[in-house]
Amino acid sequence: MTRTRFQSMEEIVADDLFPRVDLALRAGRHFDLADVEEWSFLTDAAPFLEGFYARYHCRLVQSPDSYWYLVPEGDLLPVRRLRAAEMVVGQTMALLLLDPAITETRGILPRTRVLETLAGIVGQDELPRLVLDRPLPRDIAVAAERVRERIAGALRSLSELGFVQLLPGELLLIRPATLRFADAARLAPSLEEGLRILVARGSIDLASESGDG
Amino acid sequence: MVETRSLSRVPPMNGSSVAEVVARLHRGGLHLEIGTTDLCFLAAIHVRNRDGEGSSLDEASLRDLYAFVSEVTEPAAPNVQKRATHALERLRDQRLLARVDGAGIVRAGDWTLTRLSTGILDYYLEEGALTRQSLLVLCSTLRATLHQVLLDATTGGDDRWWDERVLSPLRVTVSDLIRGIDRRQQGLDEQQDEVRARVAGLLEKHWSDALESCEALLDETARTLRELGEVLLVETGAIVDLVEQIGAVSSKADRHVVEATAHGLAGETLRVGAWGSDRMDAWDAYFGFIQRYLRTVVRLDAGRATSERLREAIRSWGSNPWGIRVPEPPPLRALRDPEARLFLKPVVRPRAARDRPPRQESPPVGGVDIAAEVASLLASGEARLVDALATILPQVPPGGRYGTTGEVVEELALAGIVRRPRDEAWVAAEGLEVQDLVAVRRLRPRPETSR
Repeated sequence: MTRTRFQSMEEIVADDLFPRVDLALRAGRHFDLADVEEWSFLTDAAPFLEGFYARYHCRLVQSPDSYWYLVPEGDLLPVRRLRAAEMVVGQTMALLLLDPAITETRGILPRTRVLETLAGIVGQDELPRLVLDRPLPRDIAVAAERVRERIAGALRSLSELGFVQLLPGELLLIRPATLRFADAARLAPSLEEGLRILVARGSIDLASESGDG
Repeated sequence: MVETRSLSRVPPMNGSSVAEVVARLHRGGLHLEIGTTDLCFLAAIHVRNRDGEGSSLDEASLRDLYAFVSEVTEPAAPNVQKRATHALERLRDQRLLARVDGAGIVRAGDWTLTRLSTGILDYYLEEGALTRQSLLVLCSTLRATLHQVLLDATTGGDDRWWDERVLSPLRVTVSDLIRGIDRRQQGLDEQQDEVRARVAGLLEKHWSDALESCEALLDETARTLRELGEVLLVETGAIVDLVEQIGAVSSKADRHVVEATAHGLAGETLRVGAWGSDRMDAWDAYFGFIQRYLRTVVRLDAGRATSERLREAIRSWGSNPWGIRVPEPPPLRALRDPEARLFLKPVVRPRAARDRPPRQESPPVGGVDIAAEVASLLASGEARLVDALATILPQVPPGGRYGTTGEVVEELALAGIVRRPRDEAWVAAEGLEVQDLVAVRRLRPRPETSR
């Protein structure tokens, strides 16, 4: 039997950590082992919190990589889908995390590596089309600057969600939750099958809305 | 690589401030330049000397040694003898090799390593990695020395006693031993970097097949570090304690230079201990990270196909977009504070229809019958607008001429058939400008209109 410090939902709600953790989960935050207090709190409170969030039509999930997050399943809580820039930046960071070279630096990289890697995969010309809104700037230098701004904005919002930690000196630390962007590639032998599984789980949506980017 | 060029002697620097030392070195234009081949050559001399073949070598032996080194480092390079000559000159100029001079007579071709080259080689070749054994030996030696110094300080004596039995051992022996621990500890940093690079290299080459090797390497390093950490923690505490006791005794004896030296050494020892502690923490963090990496990334993707699929997913995302669903925080509500409002009297005037229908007012035309005037002009068969205006407008007050012009055009269109002349230039007409038109008399009755 798992030992837990909480015996009831009342004790959990009365805990000092509950308001902060609850609000953060409802804002899309992911908690991994580096968030020592919050992670321990969620691990101990999970048996009660699962039922609590189910009433909000949400599912409290602990991934095989040990991080916690909330998956909205109904429409009681507002839901958003990550935007284009956030998605491609997140997937690029997941790819960097899968590279063994990252073990030398414990996941710490210069922020410019993300843009360089992404540009290397999709091509410099394709980047503006991928992350910027239409109409695209005609001037290449202006487009490049807007791409950089959009990538920087994506990193900031991903850091608020717990996928990455922005460090001083233009560095970043890729956090384990970033592997969520690799789930579609990890779950099945083909990407299509992986996406189908994730759609069935309610983790992702296919097809972009207007205004994504 | 740091470059040394000048042969000038560097004056002693003991007791000089940082600024003085830097200024002196800068004025001397000091720099050091040692390529890989030269470094290997010096190392070869060092190893020959260490293996008991004497502390100097004749020129012929040096040239043979250089040829051997060159075969390894620059196998394709020609003229090895010429290069050997240049190397000997270069290393001599930079005070890395010195000719041996015996009893005032220079013996041609006998060479030896200098203190500078020995110091450099000690750094690169030193196999004094920080082991539990070496750390215990160093720390035990240090504590023994400090015990003796404490005893001598407590015994006390004249200035010479304090200088020879307390201050000099603190400044030289104790300081060297602490620096020895620090130097070896910094070597530990390099070992950790090497382990990290080896683990990354093993994973890069063999991926999941390297799991066992990586785990063995990590376990061994972690065990070594744990042992060292425990020893360092205990030993640095004991060393600081002894040094502070020496400082206290010196202070009581008014030996303030000794006291200051003791405080400096205590600070240095604490720094060494703190550095060690930081390195252990950094290793723990790395160890935790790599264990999770092996468990969650390597084990779950033995074939390493995930990276390729993910790369393809990024490439194709634009044509097949999908997005992770996350809860969105509700929008912020800016709640106003309640405020007192003025009480407004309710409206008490009864309802009534207060809108008045618009009244149509014609512009003043001065009693001109426009229809009759236009009909009179059309009697000749055709009438021009300009001519009609010239007849009618003078009879109309100036304020009504603009509106009257519109009525004249309308009457011409109703009474006749309007044709535009070819020339559509604007012409003046009684204070206005109009585009002229021509109306031809209708043969049939005019169309009915409501006015």
